[in-house]
Amino acid sequence: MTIKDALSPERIVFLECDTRAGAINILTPIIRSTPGMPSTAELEAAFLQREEMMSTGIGMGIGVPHVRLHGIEQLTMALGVHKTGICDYPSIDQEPVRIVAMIAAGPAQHGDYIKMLANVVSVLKSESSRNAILESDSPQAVYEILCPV
Amino acid sequence: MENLHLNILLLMGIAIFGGTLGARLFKRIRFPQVVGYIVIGLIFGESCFSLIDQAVIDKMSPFNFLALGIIGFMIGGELKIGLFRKFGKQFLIILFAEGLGAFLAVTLLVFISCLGLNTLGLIALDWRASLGLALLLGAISSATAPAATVDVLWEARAGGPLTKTVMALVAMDDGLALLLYGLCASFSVTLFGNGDSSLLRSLAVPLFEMGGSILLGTAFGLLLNYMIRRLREHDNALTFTIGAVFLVIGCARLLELDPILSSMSLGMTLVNLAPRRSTSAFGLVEKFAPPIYVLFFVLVGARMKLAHMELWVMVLAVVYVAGRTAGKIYGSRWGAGFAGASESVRKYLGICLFSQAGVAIGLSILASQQFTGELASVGQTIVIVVTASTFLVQLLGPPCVKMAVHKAGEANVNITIEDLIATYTVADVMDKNVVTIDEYAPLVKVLDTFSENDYLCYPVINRSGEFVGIITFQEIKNTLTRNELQLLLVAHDLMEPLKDNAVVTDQLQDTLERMASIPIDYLPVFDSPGSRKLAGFIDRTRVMHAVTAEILRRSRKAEGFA
Repeated sequence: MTIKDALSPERIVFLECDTRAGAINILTPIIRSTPGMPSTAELEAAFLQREEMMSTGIGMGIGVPHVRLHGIEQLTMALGVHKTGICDYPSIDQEPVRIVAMIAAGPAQHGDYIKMLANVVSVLKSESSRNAILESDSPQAVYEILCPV
Repeated sequence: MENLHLNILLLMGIAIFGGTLGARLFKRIRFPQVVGYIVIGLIFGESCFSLIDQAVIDKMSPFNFLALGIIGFMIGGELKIGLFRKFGKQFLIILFAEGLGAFLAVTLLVFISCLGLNTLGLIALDWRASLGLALLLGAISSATAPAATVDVLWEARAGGPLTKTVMALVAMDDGLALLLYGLCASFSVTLFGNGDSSLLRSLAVPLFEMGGSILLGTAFGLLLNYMIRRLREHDNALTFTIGAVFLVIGCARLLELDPILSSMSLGMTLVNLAPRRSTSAFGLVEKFAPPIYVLFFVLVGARMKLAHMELWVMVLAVVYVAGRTAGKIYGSRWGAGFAGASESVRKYLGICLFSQAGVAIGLSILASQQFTGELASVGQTIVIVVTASTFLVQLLGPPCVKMAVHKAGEANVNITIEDLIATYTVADVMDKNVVTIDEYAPLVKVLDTFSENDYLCYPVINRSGEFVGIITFQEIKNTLTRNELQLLLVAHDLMEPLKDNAVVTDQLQDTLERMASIPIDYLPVFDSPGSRKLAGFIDRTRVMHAVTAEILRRSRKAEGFA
């Protein structure tokens, strides 16, 4: 499973919130727009509960909120780009999180879920990719960086 | 009612169905099933409802021989040459000690009682007739009925030194009884002054009977072994084996030989010539036999007549049973001690040898035919006393065998994996010291848990100590090569949600069936229904390992002799 299978330009947004919870609050309805998803409230609660366990800010300005939840039929991804960075998103290197890749999967998609997380982290770990995303001015441009033709 | 008597199949159905029902009731009050069969027989028989009368019993006599033949065949299957090589001397010493113990005790007590009853005017036997009667009853008392005894051993799934010794002794006891009877009958005839029976002739008849029976069984055993070696289908093995049992019993009847000894020889020959290949044949016969046993024991009960018992008969029957019991107990204790048998054999063998039936009744009938005319009262007294005492010991014997094997710790050792699983609850086999993973634990810690322990799955618990999911090796194997995930994943991301759970009091058999139907190889165990507190964890592989180890332990115990 590749990023292209889970992400579309419609699910890429530019964020202007100040908090991690705010970013999750914006991205959750976008994920929810995919057919076969639980309610927005349920999804959002699951993302926030997961963040409480351990922050998904893995450094280098990357945050990957993710859940595996009953009721999700299709592995889906949404992406938020924050030009200045979210300071209250706890991160290993204390750097503000600028790219938030949100992933939601169903219980039966364990293998794809792990692969997707690994692919996303792997792509975003590249400094040139991160810079290109942050310099992009449209969802389509961000999409083409993550999913080159 | 007459029409009913003519309908043998209907009566067989009633007997088998009623007997099985009776056995279930007796099992509830912890009595051996065989007592249930016999009591149902008593109820159906002439003692109560006369549903099964003498005419019906006579018509069904072939089934009795078939049952005895199958029991003999199955006992023979337990008598492996290795057992006799190792313990043959021990068995012989105990056999003579318990057999002669019963003979001497019964002879002495019956003789004294007869003199007493004669003095009181209750019977009319002079000292010669009293001594002859006592000697013949003494000889008959040495026999032990294998059927009821072995049925209890099978029901208790017994195995071990005591069980093996009982099996061997009930197989050999009849031979000793026949020899003793031959000697005593000859002596008694001399004592009564008839002089028409020489000692040599009296010995020759039982020796011919024993030798002929062994030869007959061995010959058919060789034939059956030859056939089974050439078979590939199990169904045919059953057909040939049952056919061989029928042939042996039929020939034994034709040649006036002992059907039990003949079929025992058949089983013994087969098990020793083809120890592995014959396992399935014995297994098939064992599965085929239960209805025949039920019918046999119901008929044993039906044959007993409670009415028409005079005081002197009761006195002699009680004296006979007391003497036989004391002789068997002390004789076997002394013999087992002298032969260096194990503690359990010394302590409990005697009380396993109370049952008395076919051979004893057969010899008593022989006595009634041998002693006629002026001595008819001796023959008739023997028949009445043996029948009355058989009634007592057939009801008392099986519970004693059951008690002995339980006290000796030999019950429930000769069992299959399925039998053992059926006795367990989940609490008996669950892993109580469960290694758990905290829901918040990062991937590195999860991997550490897998590397430090040898389980393939771990329950995940939340901060309240409640079960929330399971992580199996399957879930983490994809993460092993993905270093980038080390900082991103916690146990919560990797765990599988609960598919089912067990409670400590659940039956293991039901739980394993549920696991197979999901399918899943592991289950968390909670302390009560509705709870999420982890009391333990069951893993199918570990459960089967524990059950197999227990079977092995019990099987070693069953094989082990001190």
